[in-house]
Amino acid sequence: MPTEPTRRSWIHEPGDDETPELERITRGYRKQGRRSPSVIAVMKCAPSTLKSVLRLNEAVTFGGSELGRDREELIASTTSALNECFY
Amino acid sequence: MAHAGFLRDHHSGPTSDVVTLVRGLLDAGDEAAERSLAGAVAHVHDTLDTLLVRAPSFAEHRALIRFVTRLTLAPRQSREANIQELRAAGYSDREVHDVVNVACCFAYMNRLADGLGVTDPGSADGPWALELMGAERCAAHRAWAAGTSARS
Repeated sequence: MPTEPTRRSWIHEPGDDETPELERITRGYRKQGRRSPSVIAVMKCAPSTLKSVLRLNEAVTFGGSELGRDREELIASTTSALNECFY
Repeated sequence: MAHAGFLRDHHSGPTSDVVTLVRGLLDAGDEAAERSLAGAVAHVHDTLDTLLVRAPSFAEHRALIRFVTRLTLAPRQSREANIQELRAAGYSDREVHDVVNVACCFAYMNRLADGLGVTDPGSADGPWALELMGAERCAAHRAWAAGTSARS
């Protein structure tokens, strides 16, 4: 019997295979053998938003800036700590 | 805190410095919440000087952390002089632009997570979260995500 996935936000999270578009967008995570991160997955209800945010993230963070990963992650950690957010 | 996990994995200094810096900023942010915007920024800046003595591998990034602190806590207090501080630390205008954009991206993700109750059950109560955030903050996060309490 399939088990109910653990709730990761206060809104409904569509399954990765709910539409062909979602299946395509989330394929990279599954190839790595993991679920999409919850802060990404929460946008699955709006696939065009999700795609745009992923493109922005790739352009600006995760090594996309000229700062290098070390400084990017320092900025992320400082911002998240001061906002007292887990993300 | 997922991103401090990335910092732990990518920072060239020791992991203990990551914990010291992030925990110190969390505490300073809590204390700063009771103050005016200008007072909050000044308080975190003062705390940062102490933190960097305890986490020396981040000392070279003092100007960067100061800049991001102001942008996060009191964005309307940004001044051109703040950019000069980054330039004096060796940042090009393109790098200054990237600093602001990276901070914006993560502020966006923070608001998204806070507004929609995002949590990660796999890591929000894992060993790294406990080490970084402390048991009390992790418990408060779980209660907030479960909808049983507001975050203070």
